[in-house]
Parts: sequence; structure tokens; C-alpha cells
Amino acid sequence: MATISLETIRKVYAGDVEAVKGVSIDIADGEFIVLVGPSGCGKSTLLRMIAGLEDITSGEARIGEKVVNKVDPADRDIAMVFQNYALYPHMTVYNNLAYGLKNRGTPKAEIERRVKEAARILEIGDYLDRKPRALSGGQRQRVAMGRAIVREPAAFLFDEPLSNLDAKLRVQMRVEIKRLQRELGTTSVYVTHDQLEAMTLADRLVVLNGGNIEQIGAPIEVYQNPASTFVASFIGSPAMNLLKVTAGEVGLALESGSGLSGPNSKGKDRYTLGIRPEHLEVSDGPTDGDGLSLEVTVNVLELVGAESFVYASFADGGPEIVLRVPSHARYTPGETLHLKALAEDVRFFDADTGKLIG
Amino acid sequence: MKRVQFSSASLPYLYLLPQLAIIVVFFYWPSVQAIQSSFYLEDPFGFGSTFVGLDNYTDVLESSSYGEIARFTVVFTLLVTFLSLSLALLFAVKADAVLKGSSTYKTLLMWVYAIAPPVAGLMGVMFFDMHIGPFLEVARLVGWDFRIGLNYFDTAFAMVVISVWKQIPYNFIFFLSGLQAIPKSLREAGAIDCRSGFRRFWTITLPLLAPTAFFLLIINMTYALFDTFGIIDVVVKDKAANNPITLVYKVYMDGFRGGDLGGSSAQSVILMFVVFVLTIFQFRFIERRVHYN
Repeated sequence: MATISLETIRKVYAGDVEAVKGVSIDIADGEFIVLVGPSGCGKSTLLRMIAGLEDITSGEARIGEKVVNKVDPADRDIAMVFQNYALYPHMTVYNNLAYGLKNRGTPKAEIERRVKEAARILEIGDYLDRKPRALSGGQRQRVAMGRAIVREPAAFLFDEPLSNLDAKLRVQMRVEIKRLQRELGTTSVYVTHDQLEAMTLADRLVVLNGGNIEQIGAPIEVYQNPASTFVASFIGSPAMNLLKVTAGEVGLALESGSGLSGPNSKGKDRYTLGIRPEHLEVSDGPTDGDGLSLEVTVNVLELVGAESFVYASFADGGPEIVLRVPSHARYTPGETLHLKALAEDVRFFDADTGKLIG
Repeated sequence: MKRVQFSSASLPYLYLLPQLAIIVVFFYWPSVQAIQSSFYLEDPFGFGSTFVGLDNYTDVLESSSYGEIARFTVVFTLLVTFLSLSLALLFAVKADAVLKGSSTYKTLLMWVYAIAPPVAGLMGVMFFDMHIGPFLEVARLVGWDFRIGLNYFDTAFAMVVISVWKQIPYNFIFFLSGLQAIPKSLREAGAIDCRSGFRRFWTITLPLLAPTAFFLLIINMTYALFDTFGIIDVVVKDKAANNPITLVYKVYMDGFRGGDLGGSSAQSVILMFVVFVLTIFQFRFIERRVHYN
């Protein structure tokens, strides 16, 4: 168990490709950190630098008190779970789990105790004599987890461990990983591009974009107050509606010309207005007050079961917006809707930098 | 494996016919001929033959020179197989680890394979030549009076070196592609689990290369037993005299130089039997330990 601290970590590949551009994070002991971002954002590279599988171009990485920049992966006291599990195909499940311990000179009885314990926790006790090729995807995933657990390392590193599983197993394993991490209290860094996984697993989320950190925070904090339009559109499904508006004499105007009335951002006349789909509400007509009020035409109604999504657009074109409605609500394409939202639910972003205002 | 339904029962045999014809004409027919003539004493000028039963076999097995050549063949085969496999593996592992200019290394290591065995033999003979050979300069430095074709050990040494040199590229290609087929994440998992690269090689890399190595073991033994003929022929310059030769070369010498077709046939039947036993042994006892993905 240990803290992990990264200080202005950079990774530059041959040919001057800068994959990670000076990232600093302090991870507390026992914390579950999720690195999330689109492909190519540098999240995997960052994780691999913590593991020691990639060299750190500049900056300093510490696990516990020790600077690990030049430390061999095997000496960093970390365990990693790979996307394709990376089980040793020629070894039985037992030997897959025991291999890392054997190489560290752990006594045989202790290895046996730990493997048995991990097998019990993960319910893989029946497969210990099998080779990985005789296991299903979910079982392999458990063995990969087991290989990490038996080591009792200072930190777990997960590199998209669930992306090769089918949807149902993924949800099941997600819950299990979270439970396991709570029980063991081991510091964990988890990489994923799946924002749902990120939201549900993380104590703190690190949203990465183009090698930079966009935002660090508790999942709900990131969801409610995204630091930028990038985070707003990446976290949450469907994403936050973003409307580029100019404040006129009467209300606000979209670039396409459509008007709407809404709260003013302090002191700016051009800004991006953000509103989550669930905060938009259908009203009987135009509303007054300092809330958001707009008029749209329904394009599509998407039924997903527990709720429905309405995709609608403004009279003069412009951005399509999404709102979340109860599953029993029925709207037909072409129908005109008046929408409103509370002023407190509206977020403002700088029109040029995309950063959250206020 | 995909099952294919043929419209006519004879069609699959028709497809197999060219392959079968080649096997029959170039393997079964000569084999049967060899077995047959091994029981006859052949007139060297082709004026008929006499049935002598197992005399050819007893003659061969009782002759002291045959035993000596058989011993040399065993040593030669084991040396060539072991050295060409282990050196090729070493080169492949090193070339696999090279990042910059790796294709240049690989090409340089591979192209020896394009050389025909007699040409390789000729190059080797020139390399070890008593008058112009550059190797002799080196040998002289350590006080080794190297005499190819005159000294039994020196000639054997040259034969082994040339044969190994010729076979390394072939093994190298297979080992390298075998190494590259090992998933990167597996090596990385190994790097986290095991600090020692040497230990990692023995416990992860080598077991995963085992199918390749087993295939190469069979190919290399066959190579050392039979395909080195051209190299040996060039080294001994068609006149073996007291120089070391392998069993295959003796078959050729007795049959085509000595005109003893019966004895030569008996030898080739013995050789065929040995290879047969060897192959069965390899598949039964070694392949069992091999892990196939």
C-alpha cells in the first residue's frame, strides 16, 4: 500500500511526438483513480510509465517515498492487469498466479496460501490445474486479477481490463473490481475510455485530452461542473448540450440566428452555454424569469426503456440538442416543443478557450 | 478444419494424384529398388546380379570403417544441430531486441540461406585453404597448424563450421518469427513478474518457442544427416581418403565410385531405418513436452 505521485511527467516518442505533456497527480493511499479520455489522449502511456514499461522522458514518478523513474518494473511493487489478460499460455492457472511470487523467492507454503486465498476470493479454485486456453473470457479475466492480488503489491494498475468482455460480464466484473479494491484497500490506477466505467469505479477521475489533464475530481463533481467543454461532452451519455450564444439586447442568439432567452454570463457577450439533457424540461409555452427558455422542433424520439431521449433542433438549424424525458412521454417528429431549465443548472464556458466560467 | 463435400467420390483422389505421383516416383519406387538391390550382388558393369541374401548387410555392419563413419556421423549431426540451433536462437533473440536498423541486421543474417550447399562448401574450403585461407592466419596466432584435407580433426572442424554457418540463417528466420509472434503484453507481464531477463527467457520465451524449436530440431537433424552432402563433397574434393565423411557420403562413394550397388543399397536401407526410428522417437518423446497454442 502506498501513495503514487507524478510530477510534470512528460513522454516524448521518437520523431518529437509528445504523448504526455507534463502531467501531475497525487494519488492517496488506497485511492481508486481512473484515467479516462479518448484514444490517443496519453492515458495508457501514463499508466505504462508508472508500471515502468515506458521510459519517462522528464518529470518524476514516486511510488511511496521512492522515486521510481529508473527502477525496473519488477522492483516497483506494482501489479498490472492487461487488456488481453496476458496470461502465460504454457502454465496452469496455479502457476500463472504463483510465477511472480516464485521469482521473488516467496516460500512455497506462503505461495500456496496466497494462491488458494486469491482463488477463493475470485472463485477460480476449480480451474487451478487448467491452462488458460481452456478458460472462458470471464474466467481469464479473473485469473489476471488473481495474478495481481497474490502479489499483494503497493498498487494495482489496470489497462482497460474489461474491454474484451461482453456487455453483461463487463458490468459484473466492474462491480467486482470495485468491491475487491474496497476490501483490499490497495491504491489503484485504472485506464479506460468508457466513461460509465470511469464514473462508477473512480474515487477520483482524471480526464485526459491530448496529453494534458483536463480535470481531476470526484466523478459527480466532474459530471456536475465539467472544467471545459471537452469534459462536458466526454463525460455523461448523452453528452451535455453545448450552445454557442451571443448576448444581444433581447435574450441570446445562436450562430444560426435562432433566439432563446437564458441567464447571462457575468461580463461576457459571447460564451458557450451548457445544459445536461436531464435538466431540460418540456413546458407549455415560453417562460419568463432568469431560467433558460427555448423553442425547438423534434427530430427523433429514442426509446431506451427506462427513459427516452428526444433529439431536437432549432428553427434555423444550428446544433442538435438532446433532452431526457420519461419513458411514457410520446413526441412526434416535427412537433414544436418549448423547453425550460433552471438557471442554476446552466453552465457557462469561455467561447474561445472552452474553459468553465465562474 | 473445414469439411468439403465432393460431388464425386473419385474427385479428391484426382486432386491428390500429382502429389502422390511425386511421392511414388521419387520416394517409394527408389526405396523399394534400394531394398531389393540390397539383397543382390551387382555386377559393376551391369552384366546381371546374384542373390546373396543378407550378405550385404553383414558385410556393412562388420566392417570397421562403417562403424567409425557411423560414429563420426552421430557426432557431426549432434554438433551441427546443436550449434546451428543455439547460435541461431542467440542471433534471433539479439536481433529481436534491436530497434534501430533492425531490418538491415535481419537481412544480413538471412541472406546466407540463399547460397547453395556446394557453393557454401567452396567458400568454406577457400576460407580454410592451406595456401590462401584467412582462417589459417588466425589459427597460426594460437599455434594451431591447421591442415584441411590432411588432418582428420581439422577437416571435421571445417565441415562442422561450414555446415553450421550454412544452416544458421534458416533457423534464424524461424526463431525470429517465433519470437515476434509472442504478444508484447506477455513479455511485459513477464517483466513485471520476473526481474531477471535470463530467467524470463527460460521460463516464458523458450517454452513459447518450443513448437518452433521442435520443428527445427527435426529439420536440422535431417539437414546434418543428408543435406550436408554437398559441403562434404567439396571439402574432401570427391576423394575421401582418410578424411571424415558421413554415412550418406559413404553410400554415394561405395555405390557410384566403388561400383558396389548392393552394399550401397544395404547402407541406404540402414540409414532409412535409422531416420525412421529417430523421427518416431522425436514425435513420441519430445513433442509431448511441447506446448502448442
